[in-house]
Amino acid sequence: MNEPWLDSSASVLVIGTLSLALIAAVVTVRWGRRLPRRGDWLAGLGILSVIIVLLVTRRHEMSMPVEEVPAAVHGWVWPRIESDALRVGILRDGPGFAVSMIAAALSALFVLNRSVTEREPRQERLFAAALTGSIGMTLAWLSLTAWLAFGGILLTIFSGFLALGTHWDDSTGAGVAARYARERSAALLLSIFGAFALASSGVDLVLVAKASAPLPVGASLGGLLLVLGLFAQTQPFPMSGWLTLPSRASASGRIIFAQAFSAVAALAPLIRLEPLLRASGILQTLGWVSLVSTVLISFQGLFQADWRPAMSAWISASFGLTTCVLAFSGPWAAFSLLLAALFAAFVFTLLASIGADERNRFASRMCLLIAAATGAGLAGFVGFSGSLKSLVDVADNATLATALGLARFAVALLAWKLVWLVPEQRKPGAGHWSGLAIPVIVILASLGVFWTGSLTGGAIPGNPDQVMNSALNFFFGSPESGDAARVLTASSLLWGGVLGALAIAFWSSGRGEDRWLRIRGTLPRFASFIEEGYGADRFFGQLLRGATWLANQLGTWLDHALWGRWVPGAADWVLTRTSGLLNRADGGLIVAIHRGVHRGVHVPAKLLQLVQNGDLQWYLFFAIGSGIAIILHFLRF
Amino acid sequence: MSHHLITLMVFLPFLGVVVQAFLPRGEEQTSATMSAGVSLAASLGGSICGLLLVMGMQTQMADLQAIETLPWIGSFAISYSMGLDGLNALLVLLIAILFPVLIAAEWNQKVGLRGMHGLLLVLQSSLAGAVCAQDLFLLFFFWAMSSLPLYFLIGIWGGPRRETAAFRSMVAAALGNALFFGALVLIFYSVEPHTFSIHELTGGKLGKEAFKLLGAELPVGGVAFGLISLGLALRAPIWPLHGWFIEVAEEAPPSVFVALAAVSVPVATYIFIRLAYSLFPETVAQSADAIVIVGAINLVLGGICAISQRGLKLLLAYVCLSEVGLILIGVGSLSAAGMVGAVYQQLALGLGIAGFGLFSGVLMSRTGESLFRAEDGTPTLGGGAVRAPMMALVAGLVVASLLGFPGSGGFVGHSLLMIGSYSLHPMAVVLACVALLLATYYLFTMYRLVFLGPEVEKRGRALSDLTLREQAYLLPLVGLLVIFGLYPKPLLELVRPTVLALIGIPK
Repeated sequence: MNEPWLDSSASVLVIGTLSLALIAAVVTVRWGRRLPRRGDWLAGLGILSVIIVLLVTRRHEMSMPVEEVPAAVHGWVWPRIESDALRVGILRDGPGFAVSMIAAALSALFVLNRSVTEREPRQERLFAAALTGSIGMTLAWLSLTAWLAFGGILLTIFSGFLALGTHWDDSTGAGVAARYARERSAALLLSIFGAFALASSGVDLVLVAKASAPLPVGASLGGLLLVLGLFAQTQPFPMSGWLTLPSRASASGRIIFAQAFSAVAALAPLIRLEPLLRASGILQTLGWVSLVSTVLISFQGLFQADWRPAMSAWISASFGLTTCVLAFSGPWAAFSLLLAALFAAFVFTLLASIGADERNRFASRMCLLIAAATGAGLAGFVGFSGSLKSLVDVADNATLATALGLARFAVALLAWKLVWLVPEQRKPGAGHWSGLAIPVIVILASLGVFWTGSLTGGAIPGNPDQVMNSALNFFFGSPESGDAARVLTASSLLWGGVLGALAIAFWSSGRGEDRWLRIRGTLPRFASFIEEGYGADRFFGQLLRGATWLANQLGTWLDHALWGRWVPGAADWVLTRTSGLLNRADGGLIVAIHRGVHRGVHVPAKLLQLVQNGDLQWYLFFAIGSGIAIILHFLRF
Repeated sequence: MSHHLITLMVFLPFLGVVVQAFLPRGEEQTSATMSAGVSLAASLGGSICGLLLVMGMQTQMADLQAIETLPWIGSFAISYSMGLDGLNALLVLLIAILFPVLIAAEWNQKVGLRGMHGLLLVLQSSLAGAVCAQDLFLLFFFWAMSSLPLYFLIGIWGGPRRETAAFRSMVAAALGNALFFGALVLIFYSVEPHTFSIHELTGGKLGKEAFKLLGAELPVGGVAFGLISLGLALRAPIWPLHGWFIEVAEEAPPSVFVALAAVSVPVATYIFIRLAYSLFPETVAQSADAIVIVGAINLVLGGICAISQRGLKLLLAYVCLSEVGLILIGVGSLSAAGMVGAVYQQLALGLGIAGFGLFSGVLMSRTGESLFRAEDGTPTLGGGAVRAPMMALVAGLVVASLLGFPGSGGFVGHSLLMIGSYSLHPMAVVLACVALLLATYYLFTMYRLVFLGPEVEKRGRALSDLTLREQAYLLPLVGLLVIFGLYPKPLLELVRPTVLALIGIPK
């Protein structure tokens, strides 16, 4: 890795700009109500500065291959040459630049979209969320090592928390925001602990894709914790109970910043560490976990009556599918799906949030359809190529191909269902022109031609419709094309899944009564079980109640009873008894001594008393006795 | 200049007490302000000396610096010996930062302001002296002295059951000090020539000595280590000897509990590290597993007990208990990273606990309420983020540091502790992870119930945001937590050489 002096200054420029932008975000949150236009200009300025610094620092490296991208490494905790050191640095490569720019652009478009923000009571929190989300995404995707990426993910979590802050002041909104922050923070800590375990085992967590040896034996647990923690940022099963919690917070803020941004930020280290994780077999485990989660959550979304939780479920399922594709196919396909999910989430949610009136009904319905096509992976859009490649890569494994196809189908089904669900529930009202213009801009950005170079997004084998260089090839290298049989199998699965999902969605949701809601009515307990996340919340609630009961018992029996009453009581009993015993013994000894002394003194005292009481006999006896004694004494001599 | 800075740092607060005692008593408000001003000046004086000492230290140097030595009680080879190295530098910094903050926090104390400030100054002096002492007797002298002001602070300014709490704290302190002193006497008479100098006793000299008790030959090192460990465990909240700590948490005023939990407890762990690794390296190497087990128990039990807490005071107490367990895991890791992490975490823990305790104190003084959840689970506070956004920001940063989020001081300590301990004690690190995940639950729940949601209508008094004075001492505190998290390099370069030298002794 090069470490030219110039790179350090570029890194300083990036970090410095992001820090200033973060300060601007804090100012917007804290004092936004007093600022003109609730501080949208400040947030916009911050996002613009992020875009400018990205362009300025990237200017010289546009044409550089991945291996020669410069990076600068600094020691954060301990000097960088130490084995246990936590190193940080900025890596300005293609994927990082692309995602950072997209995030900044989407944040800017969100801030500009008056039809979404002007209805919210605490707009400054939304603007701050947009800026913070942009900073977090940039940090996560430009980070050279996992440590700075964790900082970026933390900022995106904070961004999501702010986006939910439009209704912190009511009980439900507060509960949703707090639960979101708690679960995401716990997931982040889990991945951080995994990283600690890896660092302890000597694994270098540098996020530059290169062929890697498997993890040492003791580090497998760390690797597993790391990937599970990062995957949990997509709000998978069993954390999907949050997806369906009702909240009056801005739906677009919730979906874009609380869900999409933090999921994309978490995918940054996952995508970059792919060689290391693949060599250790951890990615296979993650792949199956994410596949099952995708299917479960997709079906959870199908049973939702309201478009908000349904869309939340679709976002989660989409990123779950992206993770699954990363595991079974690789970063090329995963990145394509990531972009598709991000673009589709943005378009979907903005369209759902604008007011519905006669003038924009047709246009917004068309945009919804196109957004669903992007998310479902239809040809012509960026997601198609990734979906196709992933199925080509697993075509030899029938089980895996079927499972992946099923997951693809489930996600597509939910996406198509939203096309009919959203318009029914949109609030009436005159939409601002930006409400449609902005989604159209983003839809254009999601076209496959800009990412694969192919007009159909790689639908035609051999890419005869290639009109420009493929950005994905530039980022991740050209993928293997696969033999014709595999391509045919994969194409059949993909087209069949996507179009079949469209047909079923139309049949179940597009013709009058929603059949999924009918199932809800017919089998309410079954539907409720699925709708609320397959009973996971109840299970964890029981665990928590058990932990609270244990805590109460420990507090009652150990702290208050044992150490508060019994031990002090026992100590007091022992001390009191011992003291009483010694006291009695002491008293007895004193009495005995007193008696002994009394006796020892009593006889001579009595004698003297007798002498003193005037009895002459005694005086005579004494005198005579004394005389005899004296005579005898002198007679001897 | 640096030759007498330690003495100035230790005795300036004492001088402040004396000056304060002789201040004329005029009109009440003027007298109180003057007294508070003198106390703050004395405390700041000591703190500035401490800061100058730390800033003037040479990095990459393991030996003692700023040494001051004077013979004291020559017949018992007791000397006034003070010095600074990587092990105690961060604690000097912690004391320098926190005590002026505590005095500022009690600026408007209505009852016995002079007395309270005086006792805090005595505490500052005694803890600073204990941290810098390089003579065992001198260390014991200051350490034992530190228990007295705490007794009065709790017993006079505490809650309804303050006398019981103060008595229990004194009993625990007295027992602990007695055990500690027994160890000192044993050590003194076991070596020839007799000495209390830590430097002269360093290197495992005691490991070869034995003494006879009731016919049995006992190793001096093992017995003395056990006595010292038990003595310090009684002063720090080490499970299961933590009962007095919980009671004090409930009854003591917030600033007093902060002085105990955020300063006195880290000093106890520092003394353990200093004496264990210097005087008993072989015993430490043999007992490392036991130290880690005790730490893990502390960590997990503290975390579990915190889940059911409904009040800020007890929540803070159990958080402190849990974090001390983490420090012990680092101490028992016998690795440079783990030990440096333990030392660094003392600073991060101190600042984090102080922030938590002080913002809790402000909240309680505003609302008259220390419980954030009623028995039926309903919030008793709530809506704090709207009425007190600065307080919400401070609380958020403190919670982030206690959980060890990247960019906070807690992250640096946690990272070194866990990286250093994982290879030898993976189970302990796994338990630490579980405890920290539990902490995510109860700290976020506390935050949600205090700062989010609607305001509770029946609450006694309205919540208002931090005043300028409160911002003046709280914002720098949390600012330092962020700075120490983003740029820990200067402090780590102070600590590391000493730790490497110390680690080499058991190995």
